[in-house]
Amino acid sequence: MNFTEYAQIAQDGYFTPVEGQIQILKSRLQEHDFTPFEADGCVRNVGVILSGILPPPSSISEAIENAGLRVVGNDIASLFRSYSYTPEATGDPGEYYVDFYQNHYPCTTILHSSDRRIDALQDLIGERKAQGFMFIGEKFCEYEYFEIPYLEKLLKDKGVNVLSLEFSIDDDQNIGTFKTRIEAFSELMEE
Amino acid sequence: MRALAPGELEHSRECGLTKVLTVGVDSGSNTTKVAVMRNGTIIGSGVTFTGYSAEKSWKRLLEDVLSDLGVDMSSVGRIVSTGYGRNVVGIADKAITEITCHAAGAHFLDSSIRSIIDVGGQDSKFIALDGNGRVENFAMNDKCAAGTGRFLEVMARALEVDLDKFGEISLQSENPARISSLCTVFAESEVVSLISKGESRENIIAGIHEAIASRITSMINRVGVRCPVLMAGGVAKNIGVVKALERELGADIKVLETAQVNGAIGAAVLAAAIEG
Amino acid sequence: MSADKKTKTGHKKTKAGERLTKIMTDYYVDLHKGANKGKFVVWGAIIIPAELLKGFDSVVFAVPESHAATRAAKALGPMQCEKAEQMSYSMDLCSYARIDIGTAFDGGKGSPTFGLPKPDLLISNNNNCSLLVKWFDVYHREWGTPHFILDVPFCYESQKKKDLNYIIDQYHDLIRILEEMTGEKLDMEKVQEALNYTNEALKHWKRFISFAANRPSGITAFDSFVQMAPILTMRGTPELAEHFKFLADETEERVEAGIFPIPNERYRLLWDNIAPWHQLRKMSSRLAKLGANIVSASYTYCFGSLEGNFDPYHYEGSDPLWALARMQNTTICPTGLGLRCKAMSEAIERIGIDGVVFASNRSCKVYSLMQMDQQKYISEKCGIPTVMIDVDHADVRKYSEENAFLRIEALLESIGARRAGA
Ligand code: SF4
Repeated sequence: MNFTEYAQIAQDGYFTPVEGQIQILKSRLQEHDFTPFEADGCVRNVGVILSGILPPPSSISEAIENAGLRVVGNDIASLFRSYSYTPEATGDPGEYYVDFYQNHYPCTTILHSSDRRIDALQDLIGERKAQGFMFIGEKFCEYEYFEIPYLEKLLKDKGVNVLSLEFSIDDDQNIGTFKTRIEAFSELMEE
Repeated sequence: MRALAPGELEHSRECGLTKVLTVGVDSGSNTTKVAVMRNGTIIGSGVTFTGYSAEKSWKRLLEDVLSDLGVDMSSVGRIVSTGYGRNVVGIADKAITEITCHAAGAHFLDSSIRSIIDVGGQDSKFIALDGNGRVENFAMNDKCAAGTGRFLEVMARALEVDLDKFGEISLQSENPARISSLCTVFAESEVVSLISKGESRENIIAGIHEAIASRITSMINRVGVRCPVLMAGGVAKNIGVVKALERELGADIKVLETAQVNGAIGAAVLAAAIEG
Repeated sequence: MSADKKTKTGHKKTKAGERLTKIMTDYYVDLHKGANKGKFVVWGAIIIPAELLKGFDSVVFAVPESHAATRAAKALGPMQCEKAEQMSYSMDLCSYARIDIGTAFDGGKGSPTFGLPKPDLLISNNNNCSLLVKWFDVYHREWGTPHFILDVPFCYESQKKKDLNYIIDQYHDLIRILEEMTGEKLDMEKVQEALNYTNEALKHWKRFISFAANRPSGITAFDSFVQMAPILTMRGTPELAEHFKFLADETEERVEAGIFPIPNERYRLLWDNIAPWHQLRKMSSRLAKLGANIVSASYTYCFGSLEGNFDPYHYEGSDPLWALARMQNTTICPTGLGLRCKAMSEAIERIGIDGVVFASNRSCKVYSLMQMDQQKYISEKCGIPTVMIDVDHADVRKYSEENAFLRIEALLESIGARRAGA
């Protein structure tokens, strides 16, 4: 399964009641063969990590994968940070949520954990051997915007290429200019 | 002039004909540019408006440029397309972004260049090159039009002055007006109110140039300028913007005759480098 | 009597205005001197319990928000914003933050106060807005300065007892950290004393802003905006109490003597949002020509009030930590729509307001987000015309004077039309 598809399934879940989500996921699990996604021959397979609050619009995910970039990990809040830790169900919602927030994967928006997030992100990049980091900026989430200049500098110093993009929800205008950036980013790592 | 038959190029390639020419096609949103290269030299180029059909316009332009050179498509080998419409150039061997092409073009024309400022009608770009002419980093304008040729077009309309005269007129200004708004619409209303207050045309235009230069500089400094700097793209023809940028950046800016076709030249250069 | 100085617009500068310049200059000089002598420098958000810091002799207190406002008022906003933008800080971020980041990372260059001395500790809170926390985090990351974040629960009704205790608990943490870092023991008596000074100052501040109710108004909101600087930076000091007494006394004398900022006042307006720092002169004089005065502003109550009320809170000598925690839910940002509307409609009634200018601020989303609903509520409940204009409080590049005045003048016309119809 490629990233575009994966993100789409997750996004479909945002507006589906839990029962419906379980249904969708079950059927996807049944019908899908989970051999790891292999990019076809002509694709260069440069590993990138996506980060942000929401996944990019699907036309952008496609553009990323068509530009020969392979999403080897994501640090997207709604796809990863929020799911990364699930507490044991104890029957006490209060307890559940205390546990959930206390042990939440470090996140820019959960203020007390945002220091640890910098390390967690670097670990993720190292572990997945990503060459590039793409920030999928959500116009509404300014938390991320305060962090990104520092992160950009830090990662560039460590030899990771960084591309920052900015979207607002359901923004699929200007796809052309995003494609240019994404492809140029890919070309830059090719050399 | 002969139209291209589908598969013709493939056919001639298979027949092993010697293709001496390589071509770069830069299909931009406003203008389309073509450059033709033989044995490491640019031998022809052309610019035309893109109009409603990107495909028609690059085809016609390429045919014209080739016929001026006294050749036709049969002499053409590799083609690289670039620009917004890079994917509509079906016969291209490869589509490469303007960013990489500008770098290649600039490096080809002057290997000392380390930065390129490309300000076009719809967007602006800054490209930093390493010592070997490769793209090291780049930045593009935000969604807003404030740092692009569009900003100038809107202002030219408000002032009822021909945009081509902007550069020259602004040089007569002694005291550029201040235009503080970032938003193009707000800035337009500022310009209108300057006109009604009786501010001189040259001061307003010089102020407009300073405003656009300051936006572009903001983008440039995110990456960091390195000298020598080359300016490409249509707006490079506006001496007022170039001068204002030089002041803001504190650096000299080179503008070559080929400023507008720089991306197409780069594409032709990259086409020549394609192996096989 | 010494000759009153004329300001650029021809208004007579008040003595309190001159005095303000002096005490603020002294404050910045002392701040830098203190830091040079090795005092412990705290950078804090405006609403943190500044009086608590007065319990430590070795601590000096700097306020980035107020510093940013000063620069914006001196037309230095865009220059400093651009510096931050060039470091990749988005131009959509709060202009205070951009000004401050631009100045701080450029070593204070271009700031009339030479910037702020580098901090030893950052203290922020999430009750103005939680983005401020991220703004302070920028320094925390870049310089490694420890950052204490006060978590203040938002309130939709009166502050809850458990929330109050939660805040007090955090004060104890803060005290422990300060004691460890400075090596000095907190002197609670000094905190008490500081609270008394703040209380005294607030009493006079209330007197001062209440002259808005006079007809014509004894003040303009623009005067009060400027006078806010020491309430943000010098809380808990005798100088603040003295200054506000002077300010209120002078205003009282002027009102008694029949000296009014807009003698031919025909429209009495209320401003909702942070001061448009780069427009103080321009906006007030253009309004004056129209016979309009913005007599009051919700912003001038943003410190020292309690939830749901514009009036400054009166401290009666209870436990200082309790009182400081009680004052964390000030009237505007950390409170819900119901409380905001209640506070504003009471003030409209009391001051006698003809129309409200809601200034939607591109920078300050927390202040602006509810304005649409609030505007609707106020128009219906108070039955007065209102208008929404676009501003950015510190970045003039995002403001269009013509655009704003078109709407303000339309507001005045509709006030006029109602009068004619009545
Ligand atoms: S966004 Fe508003 S509350 Fe937050 S720091 Fe800026 S001005 Fe203050």
